[in-house]
Amino acid sequence: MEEIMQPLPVRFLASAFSFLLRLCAEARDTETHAYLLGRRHEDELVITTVLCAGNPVRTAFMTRPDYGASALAMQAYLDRGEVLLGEIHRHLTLVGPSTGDLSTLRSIPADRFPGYLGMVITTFPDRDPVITAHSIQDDAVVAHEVTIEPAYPALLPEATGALRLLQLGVGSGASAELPQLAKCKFAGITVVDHDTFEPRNFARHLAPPTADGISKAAWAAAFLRERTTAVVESHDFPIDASTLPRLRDLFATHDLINNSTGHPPTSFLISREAVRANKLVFHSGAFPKGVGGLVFRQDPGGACYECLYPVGMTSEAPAVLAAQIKEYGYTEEELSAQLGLWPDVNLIAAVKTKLIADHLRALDRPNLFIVDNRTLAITSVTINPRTNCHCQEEP
Amino acid sequence: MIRRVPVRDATTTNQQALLEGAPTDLLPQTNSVFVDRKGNTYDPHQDKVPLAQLPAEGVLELPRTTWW
Repeated sequence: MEEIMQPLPVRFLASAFSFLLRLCAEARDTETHAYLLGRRHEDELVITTVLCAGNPVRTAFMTRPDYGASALAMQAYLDRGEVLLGEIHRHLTLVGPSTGDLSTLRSIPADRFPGYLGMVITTFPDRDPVITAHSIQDDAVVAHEVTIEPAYPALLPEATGALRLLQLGVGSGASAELPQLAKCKFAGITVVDHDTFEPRNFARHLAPPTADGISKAAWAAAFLRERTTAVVESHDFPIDASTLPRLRDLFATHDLINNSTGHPPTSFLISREAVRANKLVFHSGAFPKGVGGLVFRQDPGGACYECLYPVGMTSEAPAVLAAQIKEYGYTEEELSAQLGLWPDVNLIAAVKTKLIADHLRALDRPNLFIVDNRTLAITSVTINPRTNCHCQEEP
Repeated sequence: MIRRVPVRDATTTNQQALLEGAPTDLLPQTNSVFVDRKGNTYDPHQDKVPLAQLPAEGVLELPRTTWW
């Protein structure tokens, strides 16, 4: 007994579909015709090539292939393993096959062309085209579902479009992260910084010298708005104990936090607030003299920033803070003197945005990445919470 | 004498059919069109095509279609 053919889904590759649209546009007010080549799988038919060769007959009401030219052009595709799946023609208004089309489809020798597709693309001046696919099985007309494969399948899940990112700090590292974060299609990005640009910033910041004197938060917001569909806000305030209520409000309305302050005391404060609010934070920082850097994902309930740096935020005395900054890396003055640091900063930023993207894609990654700028090596490790860290205390 | 002409099956890979018959036989009037490697078309539905006319290196078979 002959196997009964089920209606297989028909999938157009984006490149093939794009060519088909161009063919329709060139045909103007006439029907037009093309052969469909591709791969026949058990569970789907994939159209990889739309082939229109020679001078097919094209009128307003009918179309017919140029057999000779088509056969010659088809050989190369057949030689590389594609098979002839069927034909497509354009209708100007009628959706689906006409009675005449179905007659033609039935007349095709079933023993020589089993499951041969008769597809129709109907184009309209004011809306998207409609595509149908039919074949004949046991003298019955079978309709197939047609899909168009996106040119580049989305790597980030649709859920990313509902997330709001809180961007804390827009120094040189953040300015290298923003172009990538802008493309993640977040619902919203909120930028917080309290500095204004000074001439010494521009050796290691994406902002141009014309931004001198401008608020970094405002510049970052404008930069993002030109590159993202996210709703962008900016806030100009320092992140310290005096602004905790504002910071907490922002934590409450955002889903993930990108700490690019590069400032140890501020990072401790952000870390503690993230533990309290049960929020996800991505931290980054440069090691002394730019020899490397770290990227750390602080998961809710997991290790916090202080699990890495057990110095704690025990004091806000200027001397203590200065010591912490020194322990962490360059001072502002040292940074400004380090021409050539920009590529090192970029490498850390690239690792960080990659870690953010991988998190969005639910890829299982360690939470700490160490960048060694001297050897160009990146190592990773999973850090567990320190047992005596405040983040492990009961709330 | 029997004449055999390979016919490339465009709908599958690595399969080839054969047209067989005496050189004086005509192509059967199936709703197919045959095209040789120079682009010459043989349409048994419109003309009587003797098998002898087909080149020995073979032809590609396409369905004979008009779409409305």
